[in-house]
Amino acid sequence: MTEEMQLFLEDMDEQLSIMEATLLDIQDIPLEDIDKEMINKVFRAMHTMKGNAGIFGYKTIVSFAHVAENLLDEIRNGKIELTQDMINLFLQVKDESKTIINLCTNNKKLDEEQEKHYNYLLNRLSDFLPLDTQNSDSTVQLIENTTNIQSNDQLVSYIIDLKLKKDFYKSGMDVLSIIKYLELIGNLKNIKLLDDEIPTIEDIDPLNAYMKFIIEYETSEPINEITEAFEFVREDIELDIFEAAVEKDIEESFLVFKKAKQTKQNFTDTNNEPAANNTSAKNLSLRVGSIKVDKLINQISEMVIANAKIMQYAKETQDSDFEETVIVMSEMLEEVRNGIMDIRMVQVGDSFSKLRRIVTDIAKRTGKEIKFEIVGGETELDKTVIEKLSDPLVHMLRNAVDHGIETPDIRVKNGKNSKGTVTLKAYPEAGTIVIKIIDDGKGIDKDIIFNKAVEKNLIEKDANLSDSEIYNLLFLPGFSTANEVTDISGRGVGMDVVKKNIEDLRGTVFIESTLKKGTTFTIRLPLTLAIIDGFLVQVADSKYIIPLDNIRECVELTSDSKNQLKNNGYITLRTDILPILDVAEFFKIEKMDTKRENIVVVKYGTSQVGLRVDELIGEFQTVIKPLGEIFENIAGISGGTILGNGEIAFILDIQRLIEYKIKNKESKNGK
Amino acid sequence: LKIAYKELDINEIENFQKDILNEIIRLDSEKLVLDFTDVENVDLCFLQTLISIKKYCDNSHINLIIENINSNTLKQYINVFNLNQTLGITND
Repeated sequence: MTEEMQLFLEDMDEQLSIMEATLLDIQDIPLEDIDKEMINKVFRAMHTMKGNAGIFGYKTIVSFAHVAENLLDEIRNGKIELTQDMINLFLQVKDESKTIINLCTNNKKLDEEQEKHYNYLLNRLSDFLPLDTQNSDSTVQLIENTTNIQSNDQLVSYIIDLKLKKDFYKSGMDVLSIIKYLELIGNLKNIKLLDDEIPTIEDIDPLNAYMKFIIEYETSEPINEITEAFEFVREDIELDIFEAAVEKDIEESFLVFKKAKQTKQNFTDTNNEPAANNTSAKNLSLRVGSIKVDKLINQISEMVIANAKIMQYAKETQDSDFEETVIVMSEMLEEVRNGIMDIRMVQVGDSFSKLRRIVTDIAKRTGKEIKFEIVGGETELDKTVIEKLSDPLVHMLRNAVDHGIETPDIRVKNGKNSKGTVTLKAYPEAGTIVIKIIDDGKGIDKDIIFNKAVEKNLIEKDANLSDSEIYNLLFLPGFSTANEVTDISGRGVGMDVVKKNIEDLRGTVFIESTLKKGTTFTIRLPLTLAIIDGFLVQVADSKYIIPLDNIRECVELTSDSKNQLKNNGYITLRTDILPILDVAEFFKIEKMDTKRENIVVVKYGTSQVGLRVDELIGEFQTVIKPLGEIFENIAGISGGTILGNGEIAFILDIQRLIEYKIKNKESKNGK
Repeated sequence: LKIAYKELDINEIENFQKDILNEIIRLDSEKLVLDFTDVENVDLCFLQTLISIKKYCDNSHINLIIENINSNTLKQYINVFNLNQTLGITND
C-alpha cells in the first residue's frame, strides 16, 4: 500500500469516527437541544470524505457522500428538520461508507446485494430531500462510469489559474488527481499547460516545479467545492479561481483573468467556512505514516544499544572528558527517544468513542437502556497497544451489555434506574495504564461459575478457590455460563482470547464483581512496548533489568533484616511488612558471597514486594528484545536486552514475580 | 535511446536528466529518439523534464522523436494536457 493510500485510509477512518461519535452524541440528547455545531461537524466529516475520495478518483464514494452531504446541508441550514430516523440513516450511511471505502481501495466493485443496499440508502437519503435539491448527481442509482454534470441551467464558468510551487513534486500529489476530482463535480472545458517557465534540460533542476495550468471549467457547484479539490496541495500551489466571462476562448479568458487579478477571488477568501476551519486545524498537526514512526523507533532502539556500548567503552578508558561527552550524548539520546515514543502515544478517547456504537447497537437489539460513559479519554497509550486492545474491549463490552445489564423491567423491579450504565475508564497508575469496564448490572454469580466449572470437569467439586480464582475460570477456553447462546455473546469463545490478547501486550486482566450491583473488568497495560527505562542489577554472575516505573526504592539489606528474613520470609521496612523474593533462589542461581546485599522494592498495581539482589548497577535505557519461542515462557522474565558490552540481561516480569510471591505466601499461610 | 527505467518519477529524474545530457553530448545526428517501451510509470515531474528536453531540442534544431509510449499515465498526461503538439507527437 502506498503511503498516500495509507494516509487516505487513515483520514477516511478519522472522518468516519468523527461522524459516528457526533451522531451518537446527537442521538443521546433531545432533538430540540441539538446544537447546530454538531450537525456542522457531521457535515464537515462527510464533506472532507467526499473531497478525499474525489482526489483519489473514487466516484462511488463521492456520489454517495454527495447526496448525504446535501441532506446534511439542508438540515444545518434549517430547511429540513432532523429526525431520529435521519440519525439512524446517517449511522447506516457511515457504515456503508466504510464498506465502500474498503471495496474501492481494494479495487473491488459492490456485489449485487451491496449495490442493492447502496441504492436503498441513496433512495432513503433522497426521500428526505426536497425535489428541487434532487439534482442529477443525486439520482437514485449506482453511478458507475461518470458523475459529470451533463446538463444544468445553473452552470457557472470559471477560470482556474494553478501554479505549482517549487516543492510541489515532493508533496507526492499529482495534478491529474485534482483534474479527476474536478471532473466529478463539473465539466472541464479546456486545460492549458503553460511551459514558458520550464528551463531547457541542461538548465533545469528537475526536482523543482515550474509548471502552470489554466483550466477552463464549468460547474453548478459553489466555488468552495472547486477549492476543495485543491485541499491536499494547498501548501504547494498558488491558486486563483474567478468567474469567467461567458463563452470566451481560453486565451481570451486568460487575458481577462490577468486583469481580474486585482480583484481576485483567492480560495482562502471564499465563504467556505468548513474548509477554512479544517485547514487551520490541519496546520496544527502533521500526519505521518505509522510505518515511518516504527522505523524511526527501531533505529533509535539500535542507537540506544550502540550508545550503551560507547558508554561501556568510555568507562573502561577512564577518560573523564570522553565519559562526560558520552553522558551528554546519552541524555540527548534519551530526550530524542522520549520524543519519538511520545509521537506514538495517542489518546484512548478516539478509540473508545468507536466502541460506543457497539454498545448502542447491542442495547437496541437486546431491548436494554444503556448510558455509556467514557472517563479519562485523554489518557495516552502506545498506538500499537490501543489497536491490539480494540478486540478485547469489544468482547468485554458486548458481555457487559448482553449479560451484565438487566432489562429495564428487571432493573426497576430491583430498585435500580431503568437505564443501566456501562463505563469505560482509563487512567495511568505506577507506570502502567489501567482500563476499567464497569457495569452496574446483575454481577457475576460465583456459585454458577463454580458449578459450571465442576460440570465441565475443570475443577474438583471440593476445590477451595478464592473469589478471584473463581472469576478467572471465565477466562478458560470454552467456558460460558450463559444458558442461552445469542449471536452477541455466550458462546464461551472469546474470554480466553481476550486474556491472551491482553497478556500478549504484557498486560493483565482482573475481575471484581458484586452480585446485583455490577462487575468491573480491570485491564492493566504497560505504557509502551519498545523501549523502557530500566534499572540494572546483578545477582550472582547474571544481570537483570527491573523496569524503573515499578521501582519504589532501594534499601540495603542489613544484618538485622537478614535475620528477620531468615525467620519470617519478610522484612519490616519502616512500619510496613515487606515480603521478600530472593531473585537468586527464584531462578535457581548459585549464590555468591557478597559483602553487601540490597532490596529493590517493586510495585505492580496495589501490591508491593522486595527483590533481593546483590549489586545495584544503575539506570539503563532498555530496548526490549523478544526472547523467541524457546525462552518466551520462562517464569518471571518478560524479555531480554543487550548491554553495552554485548552481554544479555533479562528483563524481570515484575507482575508475575509479585503474583508468585503473594500466591506463595498465601499457600504458606494455609490459604 | 532506449529508456531503461520502469518508473520515471521524482526518485529517478536526476539520473534520467544525466542520461539525456550524456546522450545529447554524444549525439551525432540532428535527431534524438527516445524509446519508452520499458517505461511503465511516470509522474508529473518526468513530464516537466520531457517538455524541457523538447524545448532544448527545438532551440538546438534537433528533431525529438518519442517512441513506443506504453505508460498509461504518460498517455493520460498527453491527452489531458493536450501535449501532442507541444511534444511533437504525431502518431499513437
